[in-house]
Amino acid sequence: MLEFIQSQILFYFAIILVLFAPGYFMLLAFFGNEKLNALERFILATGLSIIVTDFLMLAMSRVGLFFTRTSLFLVLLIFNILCFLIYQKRFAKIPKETRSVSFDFSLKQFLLISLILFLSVFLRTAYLQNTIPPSSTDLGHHIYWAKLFAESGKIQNYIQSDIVEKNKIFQIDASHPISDFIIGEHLIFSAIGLISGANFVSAFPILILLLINIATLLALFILALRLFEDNAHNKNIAIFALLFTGVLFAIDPPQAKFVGGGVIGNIIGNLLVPLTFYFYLRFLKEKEITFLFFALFFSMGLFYTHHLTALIFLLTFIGFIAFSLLFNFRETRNIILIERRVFRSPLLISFFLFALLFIFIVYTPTYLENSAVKTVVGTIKKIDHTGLSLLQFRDITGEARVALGFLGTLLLLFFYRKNISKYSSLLLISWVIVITLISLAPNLVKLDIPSSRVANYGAYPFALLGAFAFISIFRQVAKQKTQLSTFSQKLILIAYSSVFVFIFMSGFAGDANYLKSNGSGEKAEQTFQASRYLASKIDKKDILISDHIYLFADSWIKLFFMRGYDFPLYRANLDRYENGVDKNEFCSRDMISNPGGELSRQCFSDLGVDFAIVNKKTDSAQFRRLENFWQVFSNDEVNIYYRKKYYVQ
Amino acid sequence: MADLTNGDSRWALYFENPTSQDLTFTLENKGVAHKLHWKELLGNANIVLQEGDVLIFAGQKNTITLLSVDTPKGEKITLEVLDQSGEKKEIYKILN
Repeated sequence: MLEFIQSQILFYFAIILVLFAPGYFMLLAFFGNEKLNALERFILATGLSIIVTDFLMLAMSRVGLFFTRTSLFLVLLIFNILCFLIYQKRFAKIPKETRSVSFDFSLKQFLLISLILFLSVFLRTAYLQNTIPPSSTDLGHHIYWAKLFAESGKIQNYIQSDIVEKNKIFQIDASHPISDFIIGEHLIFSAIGLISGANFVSAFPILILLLINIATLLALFILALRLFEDNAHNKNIAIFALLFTGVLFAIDPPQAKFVGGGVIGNIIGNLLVPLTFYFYLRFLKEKEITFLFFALFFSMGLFYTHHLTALIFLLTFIGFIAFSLLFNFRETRNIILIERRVFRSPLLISFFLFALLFIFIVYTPTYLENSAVKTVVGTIKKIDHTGLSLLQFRDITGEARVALGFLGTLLLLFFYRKNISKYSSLLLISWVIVITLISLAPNLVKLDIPSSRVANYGAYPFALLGAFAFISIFRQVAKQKTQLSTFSQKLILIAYSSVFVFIFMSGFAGDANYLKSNGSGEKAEQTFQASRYLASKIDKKDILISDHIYLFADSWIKLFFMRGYDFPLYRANLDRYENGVDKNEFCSRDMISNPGGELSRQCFSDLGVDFAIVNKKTDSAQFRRLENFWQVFSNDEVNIYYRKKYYVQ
Repeated sequence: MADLTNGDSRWALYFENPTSQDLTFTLENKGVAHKLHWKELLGNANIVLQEGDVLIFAGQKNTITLLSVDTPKGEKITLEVLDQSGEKKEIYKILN
């Protein structure tokens, strides 16, 4: 019991130390208690902490300081203390009463926000209960690296090896770099795992992703408050944006589905994008250099966290500049030309020097190092990268959200000249247009990336614009209500109620299916039990093959061995052997599908594979027919076979 | 088929030494307490060589070392285990 309490306390402590404190103290050092209210400070601190922790760990690795519980604790503590000392020096003399900033919500609004947040957490946890223990393929791959960094105490290269045939002998090739993983996706998990001592094969990664996802809702909330700052109803718009992402479509990607699926890069990226825009927007409105510094710092963090999110952000940003020059030429030109002083600011010069030093000396993101950019720009090669139909786009982004979002875009365009904050409108419009364009017609911009993944990014701008449309119409109706006849009032009420019902129907449409229990946790535990058994019995000479098609949570097996990203070998989905891109060998397929076949016998022998871990119901029969395989383990889901090496056909 | 959601039938059976001729095996119980009946069977005809019962409490495991029995070379030795609900699992080796 005491051990449980201790582990819980350590876990919460690690979360605060890694995901809150560094950002909080850094904001304190730069802003004191001014400029940001408590809510903004809390949310910004979460996003900023992720970036700061990443950068500190990258620097530690660069100077050869090993990651341990003590070293991480001390480095983070020293950073926090330094920031606090700067705060003391800069802001301690400012009287408290003059320095607070806050949004004032009515009691009704506060209760509504609380209810929305409660439902947001409730729906997500109801869905995520199936993911304890974890089973998602992507998360298994990611957490392998997080565990590797934690266990080895330093950052390792993202590498893997393939099965190849040389001189008619199958062998494991020399390792080659992987561009799919970005360092920022893994370091916070390494840090929390090390500080808390939590097992990497547990619910802790999912819990961290859930916290980041909830923080994203609040990030959108504070962005909405600032985007519509000049609108008298900005708080209601922000509350509705929270509803559109928190409660409605709560499980659809990129919400709980992405959390459960371990889509780490998107989850963190989706938190960082609104916070980055938040700082750019505040700089454009208030022309304060510190805001620009943080905007650039967040942008840099984004590029160290997830390449696809960073790309979408970059394109949106380019679109935003283009739209600003097109629709708001004079002010934008003034900012670019007259505000050149900002680029002479010591703070910004320091930032650019820091960024250059970091990219070229401390750590270069893998996708830059491996020239992976070339693989996403150019002729589109895969069918699921060729763009979505309008119907597919609607289904992915959410029908009600898309309908209201487009209406919101039209309203912003229609009333553009009346808007006081043109940059808010232009940012939202570019955000929506860029995502819609890349989702529907990626050929136009020559981007070879999965169209549905891009469409998922639409959830946030469409939610903001949808909330804006809904509140704008409601306000208009409420304003004219007193001038209308009772009959007209009733008609309007019916129409408005219908829209409300449509929004809720659309927002909850998929939840019933998602919330069905599929027993995945129990199935994953069976795979883990088999993996623990093998890990305790085999030695370094033994080679294992597993199966991705029918073996549940198979990507987690490698975490029990830690013998490389490509250990064990595995049978991939069958289409990957046929598409001519992913798999150029058939050993891994046939050693499971047809272990007695001629090719398999050679593969087993050449590669030295002596254990196979397979689904008991779907893939045992072919092994049971063979006399050179022993069935050495059996539970409800998994059988393990041992191939006798001395067997002679 | 075992109900995976209620946790009752979650038990596993494995050889302690998967790569050797040794037939010592372990029953590991992840569910509620189980009374398990095990049999050592010879060849495809499943001739019973020895058998026994074992009660294993939740979260416990029990390793069973078999009495040495002369078996012809190249014969399959199967260890078959049944729980009270009729759920059966087996492991085997083909001895040299």
